[in-house]
Amino acid sequence: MKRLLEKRRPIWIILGAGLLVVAGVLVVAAFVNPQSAGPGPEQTETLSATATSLAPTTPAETSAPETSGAQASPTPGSIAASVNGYTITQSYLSQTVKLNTVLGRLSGASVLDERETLQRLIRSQLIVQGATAFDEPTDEDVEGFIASLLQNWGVSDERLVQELEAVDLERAFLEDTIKRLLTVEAAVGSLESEGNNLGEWLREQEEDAEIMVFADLIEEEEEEEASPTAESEDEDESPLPTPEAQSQVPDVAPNFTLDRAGGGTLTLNDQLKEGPVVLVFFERCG
Amino acid sequence: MAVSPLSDIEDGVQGVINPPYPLLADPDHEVAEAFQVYDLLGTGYAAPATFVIDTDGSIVWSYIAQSRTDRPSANIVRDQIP
Repeated sequence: MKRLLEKRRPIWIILGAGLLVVAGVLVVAAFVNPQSAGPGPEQTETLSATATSLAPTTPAETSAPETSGAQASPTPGSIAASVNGYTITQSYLSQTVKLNTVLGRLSGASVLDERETLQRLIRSQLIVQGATAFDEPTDEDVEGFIASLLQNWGVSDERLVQELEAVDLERAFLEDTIKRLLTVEAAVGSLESEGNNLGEWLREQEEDAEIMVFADLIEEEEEEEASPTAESEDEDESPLPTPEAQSQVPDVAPNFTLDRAGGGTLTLNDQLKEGPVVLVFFERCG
Repeated sequence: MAVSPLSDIEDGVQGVINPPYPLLADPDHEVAEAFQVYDLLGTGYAAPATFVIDTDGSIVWSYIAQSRTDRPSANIVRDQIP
């Protein structure tokens, strides 16, 4: 991942993703260029106020985290996630979710929740970091895309702006988001033209990348578990793969007896006699 | 308690990482399958997952990872313990 990062100018910092509909569902990915375009004064303040791994983007303003496992409760200006040192701010994530909500209302499409949106942002960032050669979209491309969306939805530009303003978003935010979407699409095209299977490629990137999620998105997670069907439908439509269908978590923990490190065995039901149990599965040891 | 798929968890491993909780081996991924977390990420291993189990055996909270590095914070898990 680092090798790939060095090939590209380190210009992109993530910033958003969501869902649009144009005769189907497209994933919108949004990125903000903190060096040439700038994240804006609000984000600059929030970045400097939050200590996390931001060396590639704001080296003088932040310090490294004590440990990657330390996750603070989100505040409006905090970092939602970090991908190979590039950050997604909580405020940008929230704005992107709001944008998705507006677009969902206009298009009739289902809307990604915050957790799903963050997941898309992380993957979009991995894609743009990993792709080596693609054309970046022009302003004309962006406006053409927005015009085709509005035409498909039968919505005027005035109404679009009205809906955006109702949730304190400017049209420029949509334009930025569309630009990032087209950038990700171009990057995906570049990766696939090199013979990569996007799903496999993403899994490899996720394994190698340093991804830290700071956002506290538990409520959304619980909602997902309550509606696994809706989520799997969404996954089917998405060009960006997500993990296989959500687990059907059992209501009651099945009892088991396993060998313990250090010798002996442990039986879940015996342990439960002593109190509640937190059971954590690790993919591998270490 | 933590469950790993490795069958060769030895005293040395326990000694090195010295976790303040039992470390268990699930080499045949039977327990991972029973909890419906086996191979969810297509890796051939259990997906990283956290379950909070009440004394009556009911699973009162769970978090199934969307990627290998996706885990809830300790504070979040602690708040779910009944």
